[in-house]
Amino acid sequence: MSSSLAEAVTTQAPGGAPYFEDFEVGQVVTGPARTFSADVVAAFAELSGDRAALHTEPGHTADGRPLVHGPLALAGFFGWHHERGLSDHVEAAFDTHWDYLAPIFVGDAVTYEMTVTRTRRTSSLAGGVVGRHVVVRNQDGEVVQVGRTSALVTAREAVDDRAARLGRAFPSTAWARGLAARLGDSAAFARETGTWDGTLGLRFGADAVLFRVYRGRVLEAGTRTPDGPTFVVSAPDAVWARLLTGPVNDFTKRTMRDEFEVEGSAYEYLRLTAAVVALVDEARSFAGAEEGR
Amino acid sequence: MKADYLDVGGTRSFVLTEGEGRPVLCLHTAGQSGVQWRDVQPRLAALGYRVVVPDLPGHGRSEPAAGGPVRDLGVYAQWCEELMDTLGMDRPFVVGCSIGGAITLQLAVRRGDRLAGAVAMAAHGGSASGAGMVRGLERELVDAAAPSRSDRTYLGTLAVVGRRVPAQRAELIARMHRREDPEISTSDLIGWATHDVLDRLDGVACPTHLVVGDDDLWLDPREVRAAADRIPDARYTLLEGIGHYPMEELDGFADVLDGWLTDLAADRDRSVA
Repeated sequence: MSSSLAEAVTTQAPGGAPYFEDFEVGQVVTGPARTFSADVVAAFAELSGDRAALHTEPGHTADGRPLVHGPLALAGFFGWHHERGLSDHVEAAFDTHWDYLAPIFVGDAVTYEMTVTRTRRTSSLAGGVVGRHVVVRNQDGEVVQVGRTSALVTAREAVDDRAARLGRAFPSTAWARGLAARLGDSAAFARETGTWDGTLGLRFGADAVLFRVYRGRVLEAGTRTPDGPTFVVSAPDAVWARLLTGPVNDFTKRTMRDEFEVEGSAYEYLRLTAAVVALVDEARSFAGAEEGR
Repeated sequence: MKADYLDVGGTRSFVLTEGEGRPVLCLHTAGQSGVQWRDVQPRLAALGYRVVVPDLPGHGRSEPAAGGPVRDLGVYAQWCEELMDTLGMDRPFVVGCSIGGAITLQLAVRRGDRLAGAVAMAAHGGSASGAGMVRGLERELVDAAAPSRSDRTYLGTLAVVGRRVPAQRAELIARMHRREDPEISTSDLIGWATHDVLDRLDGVACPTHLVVGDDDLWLDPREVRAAADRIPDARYTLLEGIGHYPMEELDGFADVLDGWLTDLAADRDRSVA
């Protein structure tokens, strides 16, 4: 977490809350647990009108305890976000995608872990969109919900700082072009693609960027090439954010954990194993990730 | 240290032997060779063991198995039995890792009453998660479906070496592992994916110790623990910060192993008494 966001979170002083500029891809925020008591669940049943017995009476679940409404734990994220001092400059929420993976029972205490996955300054420069990935765990550490949600956050200053923030602006076209320029200087990438003629793609959630490669050189980077990609390496935003900003290039470990999928020619993907690792190295360097072990 | 080419199971087989004392058979991982025990063997011998390190058929300096690449770990287990008999190893310990660990479990099931004890590392008795691997492995046996094999072995090895291992050591392990014969390794892995002695673990008649590293992406420690729970009085150890190759990763592994073997011998004495 950057110092500015850390300070904002810990001090929660007026005016200290984070602006758009304070959010950086890869930041992780955690906080104290939140317990969903019977009273809170009853209040949510009244507010939402979902007074189903599943949520209000014992005896309707496998272990007998009433179930916390899934959307209550989701709403709880926004309450947590506010209490962490992160909401003061939020102007709007744009979207929310949420999966309910395991039951939350009345009396359970959940924790929220938020990872910043995207930041994009708006064309007016007055603010920016911040993408967040959220993991909700119960008191046993079991993941009960995961989701992603983006919000418009006011900028401290209406200036164009996009060039300075380019290294973590994936998967924008500008980022892809910046990475392509760096790949042109990467001896490892040039060597590993030295006999290759194809297009490799990286997909971040719904958005893909393509790199047209010929004999070790990237001819073009963007969202389309005439023949389309030879293969596309795909993962959710949060996986890319952790890979490209985390302490090590653990791409191989993540593939072994099935965090990535490949579309297109599996043969060419395997053939380019070392090239993809070299590309990730370069993207991590572009993002300013610090190599450790 | 003594090097021999022995005729075992119809294969001219390379075997390194060092030391005097209680016999220990050390088994390597898929596609690799006895060189994985190069640091352990002399130290363990100095601690009072007769340490026997073979290259399994088709691996290292041993000739290929008579019937071609082995896809059934039971074949290796049978070969180990013949080797132990040929060398007159009386009530030996068996220690193995990965497929070597799985072969160790096979031996414990087949002739536990004639072993002093078994240490199976990075192995369970077989699991449902292995079944889906076979089709992909069959395809890998066609060379055209196995591009960049050496890179993937190198990177894949680095990915399963534990976080406690210094970077330089991890690099050495991964580079050494590149030496495999892909046909042999892949056949070994088919053997791994299809090996299943789970239903027979309750009949293991020797003291047994199952060991797994918490950075081993190939294994779910819960499955190893579950296998240990099926074996009468088995011991279980989770190695923190260690991955799939404890004998290569853990500094001073021979001394740790000596402790485990001493405990197993005590278990045997107790059960006899």
